Formats: sequence, structure tokens, C-alpha cells
Amino acid sequence: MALCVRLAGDRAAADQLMQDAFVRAWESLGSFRGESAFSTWLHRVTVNVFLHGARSERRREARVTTDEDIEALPAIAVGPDPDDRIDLERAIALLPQGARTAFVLHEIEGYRHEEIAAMSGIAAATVRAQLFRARKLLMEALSQ
Amino acid sequence: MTDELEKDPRLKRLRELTAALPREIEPAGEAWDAIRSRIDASRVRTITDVERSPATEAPSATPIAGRAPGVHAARWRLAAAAVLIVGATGWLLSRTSGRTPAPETELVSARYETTARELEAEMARQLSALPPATQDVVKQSLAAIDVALGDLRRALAGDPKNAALEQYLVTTYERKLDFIRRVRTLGSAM
Repeated sequence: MALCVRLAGDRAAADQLMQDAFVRAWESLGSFRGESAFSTWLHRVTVNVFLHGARSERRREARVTTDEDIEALPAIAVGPDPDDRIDLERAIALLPQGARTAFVLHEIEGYRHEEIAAMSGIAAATVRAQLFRARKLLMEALSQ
Repeated sequence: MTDELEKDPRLKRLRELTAALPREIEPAGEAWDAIRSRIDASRVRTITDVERSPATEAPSATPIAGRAPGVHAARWRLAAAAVLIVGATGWLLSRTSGRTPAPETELVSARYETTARELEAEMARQLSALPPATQDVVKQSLAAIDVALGDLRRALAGDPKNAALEQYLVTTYERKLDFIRRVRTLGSAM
């Protein structure tokens, strides 16, 4: 669910993504060969479902986030306060979709640039640029 | 440009906060009901597809060598179905604990166990028609599901008012019955 929330950017979309991922997993059980842990396979199915949906016109219309959204982010207090994490989650959710996807998959989920590029159908250099943008925007949010 | 960013002390802070993010977030309570409904709807299509497969349409005319890929896929599908059941159960039980079954749980269990025993007896006769590897997967999967059911019953004993656990127990029993029926379908097609 954490993966769904961070990729989708909001709870309602995350619920929908989780449902879609489980249904897709159910329908694709025949493709599970036991070569990896089931949880790893299910994780990959979820990412694929998200990336497929993100490419569709429906999803593009559903959520459009601009750099101006980032300017509206609340300041993140630097310190041991657990609220920092909640603020960071909010900041991640408000990132532009491409930057958010690159950040979540690379920084949180540990995918390599090349893996993200292959799954997303974009160049690895583009993934790196999206990641740079995400870090920069989040750091700006941190220092506000 | 990346080097410049790496020197920024704010990046270290961002990475610390990112590393501290929780690995799991609890789904809404109704999420599993919605998933179950959609999977049930999808399952109708899946079973129809299985029934239309060459292995089930013309079993006597299908040579063993040609049937193997279908059997292989079916074997993994059965195993994965069991893992899906057991995996979801593990997630649910990670937040609960318990000791001995509550009376309500025993009633639910008795109802399903009776049906399961009848179906399993019939399935056992057809199981011998399946390849040994598939038989092993079926036996191991059923054993794993039974372990999950036992864990659920113990968890309910410690938290008898937990509606989500109770619902999941029922769902898991239904999935077990469905699993057995799928094995029977596969066995009768051999």
C-alpha cells in the first residue's frame, strides 16, 4: 500500500491502484514462474500497472501537478519530529508525476535508473533528469 | 549538475528523512472487500478461459507432450493462488495475535471444514491423474492454506470482535474451496 500511495500521490488514487494491481496479479497468476519471491512479483505488477495507467490519457487528465504546486508546499521543519516524515510524504505527493515516479522507484524502492527506464519506456538519462528535479524540488521544500 | 547537488547539505537531510519513511501503510478497511469483489468477477472469466483451454476441450486427443505447458502453467497458477491467500493472511496477522479459537470462529470453521473434507475426498481420487510435480504443488499449497487458516483462527481467539479477521477467515475458506474445485477441474480434464 505504501508503494501505491507514493506512486499515485493521493489516497483515493492509491486505493484504486492497489485494487487494479491485485486484480491484475490475479489475472496474471499464470505468468508467475516462482523465479522470484511472490511479494517481489506482486511489487513489480503494481509498478507496471501504475506506469501503464500513468501513460494513459485518463490518468493524465486525472492529475496534473505543476511546479506552482510545489511553491504551495508547507515548510518542512528540520529536526527529529516524526511530522517531518508526514510533510515529506506530502511533498512527494505534490511532485510532478515523472519526478515523483523516479524518486519513489529509485530512492525509496531501490530500482536502478535503467530498470525504471525500461519499465517506463523512457531513456535512462530522462530518469536521471527527473530524479535530479525531484531532489531539487524536495530540498527546496525542506528549506522553506 | 548532480555533483553540485551532492555537495548540498540539504540532500543529506532529504535522504535521512526518505530512509525513515514507513515501508508499509495500512489500506482502508474496505479495500480488501473491493478487491475481493473485483477478483470474484475476474475469476468467472478466468475459469471460463481454463475450461476453454485445449487440455480441457479435448483431453483424450491431446498428446502428453503438447499438454505439458498447460499443466505447467496450471501448476504455477495453483501455487500462486495459494501464495496469494497465504501472503494476504500473513499481512493481516502481522498486526494480531491469539491463543485458542472462539466459539463463533469454530462454527464458521466447522461449516467450511465439512464442505472442504467432502471436496478434498473427491479431489484426492482425481489427484492421481495429475503429474507428480503438480500433485506436490497441490499438497504443499493446501498445507500452506491450512496453516494460514489455523493462524487466522488463533488470531480470532485473541481478538474475537475483529470483523476484518472474521471476514478474512471466511474469504480464505471460500478460496480454499475454490482452489480444490480448480484442482478437480484440472484433474477431470486429464
